[in-house]
Amino acid sequence: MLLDLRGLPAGDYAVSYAGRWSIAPLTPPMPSVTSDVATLAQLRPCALHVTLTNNGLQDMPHATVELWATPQQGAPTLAVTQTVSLPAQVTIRTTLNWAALDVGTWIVTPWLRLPSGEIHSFAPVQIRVLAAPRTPNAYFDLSTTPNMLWLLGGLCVLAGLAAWICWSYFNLRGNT
Amino acid sequence: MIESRVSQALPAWLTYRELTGSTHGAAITTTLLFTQPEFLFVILRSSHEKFTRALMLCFFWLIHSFCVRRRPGAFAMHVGLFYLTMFTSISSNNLLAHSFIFAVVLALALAWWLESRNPQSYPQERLLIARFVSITLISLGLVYVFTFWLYLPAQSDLRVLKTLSDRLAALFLDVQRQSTNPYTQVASGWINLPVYFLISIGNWLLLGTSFAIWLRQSWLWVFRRQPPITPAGRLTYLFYTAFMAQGALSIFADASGALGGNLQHRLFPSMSMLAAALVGATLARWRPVRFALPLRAGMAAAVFCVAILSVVKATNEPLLSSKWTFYRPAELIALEWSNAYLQNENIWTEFDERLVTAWLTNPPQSSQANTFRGFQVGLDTRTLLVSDVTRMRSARLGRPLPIPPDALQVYDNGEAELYHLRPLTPYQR
Repeated sequence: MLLDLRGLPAGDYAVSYAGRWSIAPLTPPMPSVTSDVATLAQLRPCALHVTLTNNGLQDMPHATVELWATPQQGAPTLAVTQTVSLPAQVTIRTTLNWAALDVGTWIVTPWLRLPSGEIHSFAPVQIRVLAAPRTPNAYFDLSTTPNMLWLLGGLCVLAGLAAWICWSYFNLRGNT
Repeated sequence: MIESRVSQALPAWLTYRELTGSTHGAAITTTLLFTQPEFLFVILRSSHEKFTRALMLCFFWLIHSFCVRRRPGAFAMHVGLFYLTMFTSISSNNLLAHSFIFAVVLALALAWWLESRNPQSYPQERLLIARFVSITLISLGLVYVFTFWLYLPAQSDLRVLKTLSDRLAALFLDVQRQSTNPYTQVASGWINLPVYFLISIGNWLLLGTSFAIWLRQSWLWVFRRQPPITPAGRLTYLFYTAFMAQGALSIFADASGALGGNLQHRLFPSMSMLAAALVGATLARWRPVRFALPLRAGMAAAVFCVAILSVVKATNEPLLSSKWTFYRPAELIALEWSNAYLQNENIWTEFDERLVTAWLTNPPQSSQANTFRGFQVGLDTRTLLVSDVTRMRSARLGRPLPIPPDALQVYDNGEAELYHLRPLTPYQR
């Protein structure tokens, strides 16, 4: 049975076969993106999972997923990108690695950039970034040794020697 | 630490006995020098400077030879030892030797100018100028012989001068190109700036006091035509001025970034040697009548405190030395484990050379042809070491750890872990 094309207006169509041929107007890509809300550690690359769905009938072979991250006070910056191939009526799940530079709440907005230059922006998600260990006490704990008291004692002895020299030789009358 | 101090203390004491003219002046000045954090820093960090600084102290001691010219034997020995010391310095560290020669040239120019203003100056003044001229000519001859005849690789240092001129031009003509500001490193290296200034107080006290003394001496010599009475006093004044001028020039050189941006670290200890002599000689002559005992006690207490603070500063300097010498036993165990179970691998260790240096200073029993690397992760690097210290340094430096979340953790000793990157091609393991 041949496909009946009579009466169809000019345009792009998707033709499919499931026991019989059918034809439908080729709708443009209809992507949707969802991201996992996550808690990340500062400066530690973490995986962000992004789910992409193309509800249209047109494939998106070379789309670029972009994640734009905005700190609490600052301008949005491009955090990470990945090129994906998103066929029509297909859902894919991709993983992007990103390390947040600062602590706090970040607003991450997924973008989908098509080869034609068309850009789709999707609902942003909030990501909480926890501080990395950086306290001076942690360094001090790592640097100290059981012999620290001996070292401090030795240092005081040397400093005392310097003080004694100054005490002995300063304002020493009759010595030239 | 003790050995470093002893190797410097003897030439320092001998030099300052000549420059201050008394043994108690030498004792006070040597003590002041050893409470200088920048001087302690360069002699305690196991670098070449523990030798080159001792050589520089010997310069100041032996250059004083014009005072013993009435004794031909002693004079010849002083002169011979001086040029032997100069040659040793040229062959071990060109930069410091050139710095000293340049200081002699500056001191010569200043002495000429001061002598021309006051032709009835002391006869030793002309002897000093003659000594400066001969030192400059003979030292430059030694530099030429060493650079062009004895050790040809030293010619590479000459290229630094071209780089320096290029970068200075970049600094003054095009500030957007290549110029750096090394002084901002203080803020990035030290967590707490007030603490930095507190433990550096020995520097500021010596700088401020010596500058005040220098201003007074300059006023007396230039405007009142009253130079320091002793030849050693005039020598100290001239060299202090010369190194102060070099310090000012080093600010521009550092800003250009041509010599790594740490020229001030190299020149300040030289200047502090002369600053200590200037202050020490003044203190040795000072005879306070009123409040003598409180002044004496206060000075001893101040030296005690400054000595402790200076050692703390010198041994915790984050910009240069301490990161090389700081590693944890667990980090070394992780390195040894990776070397035992990996072959022909490039292993990333840190954001810089910290752990590579630790590895080199603790060489393994057997080599498995592994290469430990720092800085950037190479394309051929697939094994990475991350320790607690690395994590903290990552936070301090603001640089992300280069470990992807899907990396395989293959080793963990509680403080240090090894990660292996997942294969991306059929040819990787």
